[in-house]
Amino acid sequence: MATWQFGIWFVGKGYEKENQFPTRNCNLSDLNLSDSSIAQFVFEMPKEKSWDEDLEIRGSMDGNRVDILYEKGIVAEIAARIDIRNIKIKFVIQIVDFAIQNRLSIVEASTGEQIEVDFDSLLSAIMRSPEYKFVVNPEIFLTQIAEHRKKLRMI
Amino acid sequence: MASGRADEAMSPLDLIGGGGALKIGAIGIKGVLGGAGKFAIEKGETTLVKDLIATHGLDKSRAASRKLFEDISKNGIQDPIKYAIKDGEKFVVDGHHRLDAAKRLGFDSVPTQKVELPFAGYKSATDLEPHFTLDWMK
Repeated sequence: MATWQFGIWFVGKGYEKENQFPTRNCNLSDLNLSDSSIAQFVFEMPKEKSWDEDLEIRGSMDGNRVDILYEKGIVAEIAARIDIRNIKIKFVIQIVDFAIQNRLSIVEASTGEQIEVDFDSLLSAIMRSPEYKFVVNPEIFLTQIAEHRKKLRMI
Repeated sequence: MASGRADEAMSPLDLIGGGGALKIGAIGIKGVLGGAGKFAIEKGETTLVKDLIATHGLDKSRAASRKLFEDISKNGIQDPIKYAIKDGEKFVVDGHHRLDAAKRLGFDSVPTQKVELPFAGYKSATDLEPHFTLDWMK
């Protein structure tokens, strides 16, 4: 995970945020997602080398990326990472379209919070994110982390 | 700030479902290097795990985290963790899950690569504007 990637998960409509991260209920295996819909979603994203035979990685490791995790040949989880360094609006739209087509919800991966399934809400979530703050000014972002760490040490 | 989330994640035993696999992985890596400490790989730049500061939380699901943990326990970290230096401290900019797995496996150090900021084409807020427009029009 790169600091400039904004991560989301696709989850079922019954998703509820759990208290303990990263224990999350993002399993999609009961939903029987259509293969054609997934294929269309990742059509333009080349396959990357994966570290596990059950994990299909599309796109680029530190750029725009889609991870598809299989359990016994069935799609169990789908996550996406949006490269905030150079936001591809087309990819953001594809994420929203995929969610709508499959009646899925979108969850911000680092917080577990749901994002409304529309383009403006997803873009707003990106703009509010630490990932975006990092990209806009990495120097300030890192300074703030350093200051936060100093405060913690003083407590 | 998301940097504290790594500490709230699962224990290695939770991730891998038992102590056996963890023990085998850690000893295996240690054995390759002659038992002089736990290292992820042998060649290239390495950095002590304790010297690396996370700048991002973890975003993998439990299942995906387990997969990565199992792979690193068997094969070590193949792709260096990238960091930038700010005021003498090393801030991780890419490889937070690898770092988290290394901590859980008890690695003392990990393969790293220093990068300069801006790294890999950061865009400023102003620079982003034309990209919004251009991509939107495609």
